[in-house]
Amino acid sequence: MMTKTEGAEAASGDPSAGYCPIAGDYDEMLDAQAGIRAHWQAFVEDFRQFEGQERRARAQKLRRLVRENGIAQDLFSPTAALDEPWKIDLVPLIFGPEEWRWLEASLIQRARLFAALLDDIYGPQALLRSGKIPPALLLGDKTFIRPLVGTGSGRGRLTFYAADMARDETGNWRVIDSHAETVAGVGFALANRVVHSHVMGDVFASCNARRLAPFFDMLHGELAARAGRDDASIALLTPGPHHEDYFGHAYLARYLSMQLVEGGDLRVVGNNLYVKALDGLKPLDLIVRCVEGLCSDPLELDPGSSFGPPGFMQALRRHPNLSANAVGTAVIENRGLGPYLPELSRELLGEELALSDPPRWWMGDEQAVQHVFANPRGMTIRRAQEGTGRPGSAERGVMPELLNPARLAELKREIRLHGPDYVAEQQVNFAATPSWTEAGFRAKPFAVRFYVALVNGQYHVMPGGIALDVGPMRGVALHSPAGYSRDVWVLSEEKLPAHVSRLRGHLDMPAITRSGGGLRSRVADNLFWLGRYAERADWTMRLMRAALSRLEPDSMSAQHREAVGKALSVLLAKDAGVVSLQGEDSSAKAVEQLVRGLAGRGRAYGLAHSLDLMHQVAGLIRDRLSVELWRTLQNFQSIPIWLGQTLPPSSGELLDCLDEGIATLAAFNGMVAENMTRTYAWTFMEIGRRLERACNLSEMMLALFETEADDAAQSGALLFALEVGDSTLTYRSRYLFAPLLPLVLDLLLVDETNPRSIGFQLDQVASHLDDLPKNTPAGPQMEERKIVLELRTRVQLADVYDLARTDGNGTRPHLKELFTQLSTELPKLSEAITRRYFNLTEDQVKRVNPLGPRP
Amino acid sequence: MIFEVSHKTVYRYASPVAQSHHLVHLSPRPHERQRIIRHSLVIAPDPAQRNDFTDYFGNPASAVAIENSHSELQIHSRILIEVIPPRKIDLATSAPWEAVARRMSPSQGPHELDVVQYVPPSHHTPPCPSLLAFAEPSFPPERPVLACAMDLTSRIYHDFAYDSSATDVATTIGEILRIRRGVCQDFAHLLIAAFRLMGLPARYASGYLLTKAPPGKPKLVGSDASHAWASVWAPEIGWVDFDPTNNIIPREEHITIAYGRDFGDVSPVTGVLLGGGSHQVDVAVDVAPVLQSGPLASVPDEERPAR
Repeated sequence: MMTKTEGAEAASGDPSAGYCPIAGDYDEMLDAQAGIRAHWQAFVEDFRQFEGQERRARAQKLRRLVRENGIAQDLFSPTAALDEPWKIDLVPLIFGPEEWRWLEASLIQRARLFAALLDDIYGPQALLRSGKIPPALLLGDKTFIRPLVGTGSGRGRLTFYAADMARDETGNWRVIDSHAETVAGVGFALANRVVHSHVMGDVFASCNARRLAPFFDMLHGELAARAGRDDASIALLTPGPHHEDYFGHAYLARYLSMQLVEGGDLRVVGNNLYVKALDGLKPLDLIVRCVEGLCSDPLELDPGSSFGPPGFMQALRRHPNLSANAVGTAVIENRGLGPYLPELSRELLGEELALSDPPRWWMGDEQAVQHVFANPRGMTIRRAQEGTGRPGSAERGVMPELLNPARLAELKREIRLHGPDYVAEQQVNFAATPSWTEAGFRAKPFAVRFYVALVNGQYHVMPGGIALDVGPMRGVALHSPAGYSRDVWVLSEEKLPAHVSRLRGHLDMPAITRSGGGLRSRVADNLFWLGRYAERADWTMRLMRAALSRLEPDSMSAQHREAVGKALSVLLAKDAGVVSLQGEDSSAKAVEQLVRGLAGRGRAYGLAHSLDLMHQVAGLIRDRLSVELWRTLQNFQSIPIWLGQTLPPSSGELLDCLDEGIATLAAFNGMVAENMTRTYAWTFMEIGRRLERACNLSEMMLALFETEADDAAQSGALLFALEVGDSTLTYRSRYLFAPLLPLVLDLLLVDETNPRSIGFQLDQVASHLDDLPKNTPAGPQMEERKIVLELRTRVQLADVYDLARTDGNGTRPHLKELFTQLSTELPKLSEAITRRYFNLTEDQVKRVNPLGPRP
Repeated sequence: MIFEVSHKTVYRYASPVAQSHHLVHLSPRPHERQRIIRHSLVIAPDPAQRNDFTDYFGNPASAVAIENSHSELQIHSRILIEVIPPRKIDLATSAPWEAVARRMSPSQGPHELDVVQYVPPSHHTPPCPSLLAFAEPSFPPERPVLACAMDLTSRIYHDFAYDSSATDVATTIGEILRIRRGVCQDFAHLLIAAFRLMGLPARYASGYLLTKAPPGKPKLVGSDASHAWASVWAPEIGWVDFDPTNNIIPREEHITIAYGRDFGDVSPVTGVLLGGGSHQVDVAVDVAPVLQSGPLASVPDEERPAR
């Protein structure tokens, strides 16, 4: 175990002076004689130069950058904004040129071996027939994709390979896991480097460490070559924001200028692959696949998952280059292959395997099972296949020697039934490497992930990686739930050229693009709803605020509160089965009850729910939102009142919270208005907002003014309407007398210069709709334009004096008719827009299986 | 014996389907005991894409895409086929089940992949503790493997009630063992799962069965349904079918469409729809014997050559 560093070696002193390796483990920085290894000397030298204050400042900056970049934030965990599960150490893991050459060659050999293995598994299957690989090992593996056996390999099935490695106490490397399903979190490695070099770039340069940009340049060139044409359309296919690795997907897609798509964005038509965009289907030439193979075609593979489009297998049989990695590559991740790899290397490559796995036993083999239970010391049993996750998410497994007899019997039963799904492994020691603390360097055990890519027929190793702390125990897995990571530096002997950014390289030949077109229907749909939910939350808060400010016993009469009750009831009544406000009870207490009801959880149109929905749709299109926008929305996620969990006891405090919430949304709206480019993305958000506002205002006006009230109640209602409609000041600036219904109607309904009026909303929606692409000839046959035109004309022609007139029964027939029409037609407008622009998005996909009665 | 089969499936959708993909297993599988005389598969509306191919398990399959909006889909398969009875098998002379299991085990090569691939459990045949308890009595030491199969077939037939309302396609093996009811698909899965748990190969057969009409009554058109049974493997003998629903080794009355690991591999029609709302399905299967001199001409010309 770790021993305490000697003395209070001050933060400003020599950080390596009190460094104490973990007894019995290999140490990256110190050799057996406690001397600093050659490839660490430049780093330690540089680090010594820093004042303690500066080290602290750099560490703080690093933490801040991790948070601001949102690395590894789980969007859907309720505490997302509160923790930072991902941390980057100030001290990198450093490799010297000589060791790196050996690692490079050994990793490339593994990639070549797995590529050859895949070609056999999806081709002649000679290795299975001969028993060089136990057939049941692969044939029973769910990741073996039968429909692709016999298809061509294109430019290679295995483009991306990654290996998790651990160094044992003698300094030898072992491969503890292999990754071939997806890009295995290379986006995290990239993000780590970008963030870390913001803070440690000077030291990086003075150590002469190799940059990642040339590797990604090569990769970019390879992907373009695979896609087969100059302006090829390349997309990274992600399972979506719910996946742990989503951040890495979004980051990599942005870095390599690929579209980020989800299964619901894709269509297979005529054996070809397309992205469904607003203006129709756009062909795709290449998919960088980050969804699991088994989940990529609901028609021929797992019927329950549609992370890829139905018919994807057919498209792949026709176009073997369409997906990188090819679908089905995950079979080589099966840990049960470990014991057979040395022999397979001799057979397939004619070479001895340089890098081996820890000793492993596949539990599908009866003899192996007997051996493992007879010799459980130092063994770990874990699943043979684990699926994809963010780096460090591997499970630790079960150690049979630590189990009590009952649990051991249970494990044996499990192995009897599901043996082939498990492997047993001999635990290895993990080497340790220095970690920065305020008191100097501390030794931490780690494992590291390296990345290999196939470029132009040759495998290349990325000169870097991700190292993760793995805790002090012996083990077999890259298991690091806390996400303590560090950058990996590979030093070069040659003097490296000056920094070349991939992005800057692109600027040399600028191709100006402005359209931002090709917006995917699914994204447009989410933006539309983000606009609607943000507006709905804003409206609800304004309503609640106006209601609460009327509760002071001396401020208003009960008659004034009548309007409040009516307005709140509109929202409450949208929940099925909710009793509306008791007719006469407009006591302060009753109204406060209503407000609290709206703020709490469990109401479809309540504030907590609207904010929740807003956050969820924002999460689904997070790659489209700027960091500032995202952070503004995050404010609502970190405070319990917005989650409807606890409400402030006094209405005064609740009022303060509402003021704050309205200000936060105003900041969000301001950023949207000032910082978002006017692409279709913005247009859809705007349409959503305008529609929602017009709809809410119409419903409220109908409730407040449909029937005649006495003077006091009428005046209360008018003031309330002006306040919620944020038009009190405008009214006062125009008229020097108390509100009158016709004038308020003019301001809130007809006046197209008032950004809060219904007329203004309709005018905006109409002009936005005109801007959108027209798949079909524009004209009266376009339902949504027809609705908006009709409503707009009616509002423009409205005679406010006539609307305000009552009939003999105390109702206002014309006002009622107009606002009823608005309240029923506006939702239809929303549906018409949905039908035209968002249809064929994923929630319409239905799986029918089995079709027909069962035998 | 020669049969004429008509299998017609009609889907009616509550709202129009914009695009649909279907995978169809309705063409009979070539087989040493089956001679396909004619086969036609007619789909309406006319598919924009139709790829006929042989799937991984050797079954003829069609992948179909319909790209025009439609509210109804019809799939009609018509088959004229001769079924040849199997030669007499002496169950007692097949190899002991342990010997077969050993032959499948990892250390034994070379492997016949077309047999070994049916040993690992599949989606509908996962192992569970009650399955182990159910299976073991049928596998006493040294019992010939086909006798084990016959024993299981007979036990399933006697201990389980045929009940088409008790289970659905998502019912697990454990649940079927608990309620002791099910349909032919469940019984086939049960037999297969038990074999695989003992390390033995077993596969799922989908097809049709001639249901004999009650004496004196005409056979009702459409009263027959598609059927399912199991097939197990013995060295030197090969694959032998067992029908636990009827407690028999099929002879001439079983028409094989496809073999797979389980129902999921050979589902007659499966699909993914865009739109459509709720849907209603009508299936009519008719299997009628044809006299050798009979009206062969009544079967339409084949749309494509039989395989």
